[in-house]
Amino acid sequence: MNKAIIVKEFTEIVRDGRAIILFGIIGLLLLLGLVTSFSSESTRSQTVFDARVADSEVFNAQGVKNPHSAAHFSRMAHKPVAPLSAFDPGVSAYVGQVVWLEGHYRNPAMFRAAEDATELSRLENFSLAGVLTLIIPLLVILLGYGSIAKEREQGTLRQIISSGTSLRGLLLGKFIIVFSISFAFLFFTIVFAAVTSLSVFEASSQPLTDLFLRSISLLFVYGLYTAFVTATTLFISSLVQEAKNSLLILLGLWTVMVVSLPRLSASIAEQVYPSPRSGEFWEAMDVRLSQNRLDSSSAEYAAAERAVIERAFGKKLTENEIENLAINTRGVRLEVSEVIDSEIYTAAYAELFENYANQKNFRRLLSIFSPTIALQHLSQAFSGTDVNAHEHFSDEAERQRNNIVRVLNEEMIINDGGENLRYLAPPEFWETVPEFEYEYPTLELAWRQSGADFFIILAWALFSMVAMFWLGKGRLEV
Amino acid sequence: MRELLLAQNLTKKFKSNLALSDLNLTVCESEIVCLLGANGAGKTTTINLFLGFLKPTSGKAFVDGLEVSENLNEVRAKLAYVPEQVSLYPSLTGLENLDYFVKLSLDNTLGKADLQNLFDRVGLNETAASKRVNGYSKGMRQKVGLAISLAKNAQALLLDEPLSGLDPSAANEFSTILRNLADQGTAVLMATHDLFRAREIADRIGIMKSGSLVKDLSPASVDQSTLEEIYLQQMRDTELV
Amino acid sequence: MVFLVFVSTLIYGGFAGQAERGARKSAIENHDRTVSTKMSGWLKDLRALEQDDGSTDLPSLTGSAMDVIFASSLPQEPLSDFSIGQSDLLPFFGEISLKNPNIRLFSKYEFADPIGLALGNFDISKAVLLFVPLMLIIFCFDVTSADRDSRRLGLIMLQGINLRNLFWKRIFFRALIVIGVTCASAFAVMIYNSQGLADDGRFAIFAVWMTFVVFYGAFWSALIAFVASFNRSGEFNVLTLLGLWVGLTLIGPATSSSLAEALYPSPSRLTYLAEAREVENETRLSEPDVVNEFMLDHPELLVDVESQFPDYVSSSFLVTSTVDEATAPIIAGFEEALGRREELMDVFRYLSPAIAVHSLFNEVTGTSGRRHNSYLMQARGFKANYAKLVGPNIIGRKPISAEFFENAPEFEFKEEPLGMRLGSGLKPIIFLLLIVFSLTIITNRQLGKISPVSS
Repeated sequence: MNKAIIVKEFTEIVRDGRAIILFGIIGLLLLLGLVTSFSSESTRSQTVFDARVADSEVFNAQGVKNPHSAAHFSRMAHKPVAPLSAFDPGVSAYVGQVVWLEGHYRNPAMFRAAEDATELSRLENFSLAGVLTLIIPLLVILLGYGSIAKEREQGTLRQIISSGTSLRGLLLGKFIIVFSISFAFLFFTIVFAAVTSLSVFEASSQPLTDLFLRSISLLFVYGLYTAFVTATTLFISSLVQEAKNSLLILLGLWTVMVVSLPRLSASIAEQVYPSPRSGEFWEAMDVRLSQNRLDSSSAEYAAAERAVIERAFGKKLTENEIENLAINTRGVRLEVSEVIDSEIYTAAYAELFENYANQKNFRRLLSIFSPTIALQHLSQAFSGTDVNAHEHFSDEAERQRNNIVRVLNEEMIINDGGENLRYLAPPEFWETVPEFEYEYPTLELAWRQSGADFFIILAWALFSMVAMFWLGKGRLEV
Repeated sequence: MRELLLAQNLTKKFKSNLALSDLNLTVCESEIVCLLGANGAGKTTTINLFLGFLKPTSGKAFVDGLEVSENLNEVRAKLAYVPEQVSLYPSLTGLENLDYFVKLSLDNTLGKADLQNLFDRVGLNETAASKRVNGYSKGMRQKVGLAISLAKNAQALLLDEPLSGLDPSAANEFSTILRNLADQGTAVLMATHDLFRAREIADRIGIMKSGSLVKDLSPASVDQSTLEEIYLQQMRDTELV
Repeated sequence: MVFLVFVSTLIYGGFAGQAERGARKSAIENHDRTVSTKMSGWLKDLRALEQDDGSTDLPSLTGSAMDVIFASSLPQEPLSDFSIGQSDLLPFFGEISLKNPNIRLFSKYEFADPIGLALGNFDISKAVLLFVPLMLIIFCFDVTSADRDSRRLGLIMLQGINLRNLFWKRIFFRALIVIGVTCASAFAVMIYNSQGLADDGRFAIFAVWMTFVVFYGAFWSALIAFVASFNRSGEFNVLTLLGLWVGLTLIGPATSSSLAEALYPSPSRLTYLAEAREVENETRLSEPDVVNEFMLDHPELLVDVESQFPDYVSSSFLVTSTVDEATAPIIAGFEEALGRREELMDVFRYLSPAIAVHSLFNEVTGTSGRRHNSYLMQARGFKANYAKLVGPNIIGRKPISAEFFENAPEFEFKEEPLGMRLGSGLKPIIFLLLIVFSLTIITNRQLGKISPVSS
């Protein structure tokens, strides 16, 4: 019986010219999205690679130079292309591409790609994920709004009921066909995006299994979302008398839940948990840094100096040994201030990212009105393009910065036995400074950070299915 | 004779409107019962109660001994129904519509030959059956509806003004098919305005007025003009009320 | 209920825009204050040096032109609370200093929630663009289809009514309600947000903004009337109009934007950075040659060999200047790509009222990308002029005088007149108005063919 329903629904859809046009438009949008994202991501991947190589070359070509000057010139940490940014660019364009690993300062990432984009992209910007989130629900609504309402309107529902057909079977059959068509779009889109990512992504920094599991996770959550939309569509269709009213109600829900609430939620979250202004942020940072500085005559400072010196020489040292060492005390002081300041920077950036997390949690709260919000969180997390992924990169870049500056300061500490700031490291020294080997966080981080969003989507999907099968069924019997 | 359709003190009230009052009616196998009455007399309500589309306010409806409200699915499996407007899927052909409804109700498939056979029984040729129903006339739609009912081999057939809008030839064909069905053991309950056809095919005629069954006649006991007079008399009394 | 939600959305948009504007204003004020405080301290030290009052604890760099910083900001336009535009993304204030090459002049961005940026800001202009067409569709789609679907149309026509008049009256009345509510809400927002603000042309600019809103509403009303005039079912009308809304308001802008970026991509900032760092490194390595070149260009220059200014000050200046000069073609490349994209977008504006009106909203409120980029260009230009002025002092290791500093020009953003900003954006509006006019004529003709009997 389900097969009969599915075949009949499919026949009707295929014979409906409007549905074919819609499939064509969606297919075209997805194809366009795929082509442009492949093109831009592969260009970006190559650019990042070239930039990394160029940065390494220019750093190694500094010639004879004072290590402290080199600490200001320093290295750049380039953010690699995210695993599935071709599918969902997330916040990539809004968080900066490269971090200057300068001594004394923890800089934010520079060059947000969105600043070079057109103004119009702020009105609407269709990535592949954007098409699936915004347009596929529309497809589901257009395929399903008349599922029951139209049958009721044209009188065939009575005929079906009077034939003794299982009503759950009827709903299930209609659900299967609408869901399958939409899921087919999802499936091919995500698969093609994953294949695209394989060709642009630096496979060495990401296990293939991780990419595969990310794709499966995306398929799963988008599948749940589509199930929710399908079940809700059938539910509304079974409630109302006229197909036109079913269409209007569903379009209203789509406008509110899919188009409006995600934007509004972000705006409201910003009001509730305002992000710091850069002026305030850096002023507060300066105050905290100066308040945290230790008195150079204090015991704490002395302990810090000892720790720095011992680390430079790679062994524990007695007071006597330290006194007798020929070390550059200026270098020691630079490294001590670096260590102390680093704590402040770490705390300040942690607070910044915590603010972002609070905003995300607030949006998550609002996803009781719109599962699209939760879906967007999950999609970005699984694509590796959410704020958490950026935080991971930022923290790793900071670790690298501390590493680089330490190596440079230790070069001064060990090799110059006085206050002489004019110590010049030899040209071959720069090659000993470690490269930034960044490994993208695995899927585990995404699931950990976005697990709550998953349960929200799951709850919505289950709730809508219950509503469809139980309440809708009840309405059909009247 | 087995009572396939039984209404016991069946009453239905819609808010303050008493649509059906204390109906007691039986339709046995091989029997055709026609319900006559003005609009709003309760004919359609009766049919809807047997189909389980409405719940009775009081009283009970039975189909082959099964109470309707307690055994909806089993009851509907025993019934076939032809409404006044047979609703079909416009983008499907007559054959595809029949195939779909057959699969829904029987949960198994009939081959193309069997489906066409059903159409032959109701007078719809192969060419017409292969056309999309958005081009069908009313008579052709009624035939598809009847074919759907025949496919079910139901024990009882309920029809709600199936002849309205049909030309005399089509109506005649339709009536012949109903008679044949009854002869094969099917109980037929038909709501209609057509006095002539009712007298022609029915074994019993029920005249309904304001929700009550006011007359239960055997057509053999009255001629056409007498039947008409009785009917109009009842209707006049309705107007006076 | 629907109107309540709609009005609430408009009002919230006004509130969000006001909050954003307030935050920008206070960021600029804070920036001006910070720079002013820093430079007051610097000037005080310079005066002490000039008075030669024996203060021996003055910083060694007292009077160095390299330490001078200028406050720069993009002034907030009177109606900037009505459209956030690009102002939440592009720089709108920054310190101009010779210490930073152009590539790092505005590299420390604001810390707004990246997800909020990615989803797009929400203000009253955005609400109008997205929801006014939807409201018009909801209230006007069934202007004849309601009667048609209920089979009343024949009865109505039989009464001898002029269907054309009835149709236009209905459309006009319903559209007027929607547009009227929009304008009234916007006016209320404008009044409320004006508290504490001087009337610096705000009302006049609001009137211009409102004109665009009315135009936008008129376009959609004409489109809805056109679709409704075909006398199809209500369902058909909703589907068609929704398709048009998705196409013109969502897909059109997104596709145009992707196309423009694909055809005229911006140069890579990473490549720009790599080039800048290479030049910086090379300049340092060949610093004596660079100094010699500079001296040759400035034969009048005398270096104060007794100066307290350390070598790295002049080195830093030379490096920064050389990097800026070497990377100027890359910046020109950015501007060229931007220019070409703008030209392409000018074409797209003819195709969709949402694209046309979106850009006009941003221009009239002063939050457009063009205005921001003009600010960045002017800031770079100001820095270059200052570098020309004080370069000889820096290389000559001489301080600048307090008098020189006080007479040095402050950064002031040169505003393009509103008329010029709107100029190119108005042509598509005129074209779209012609479309409105044509649609109205065609609709009127169609109405004569309406019959209660469907074919």
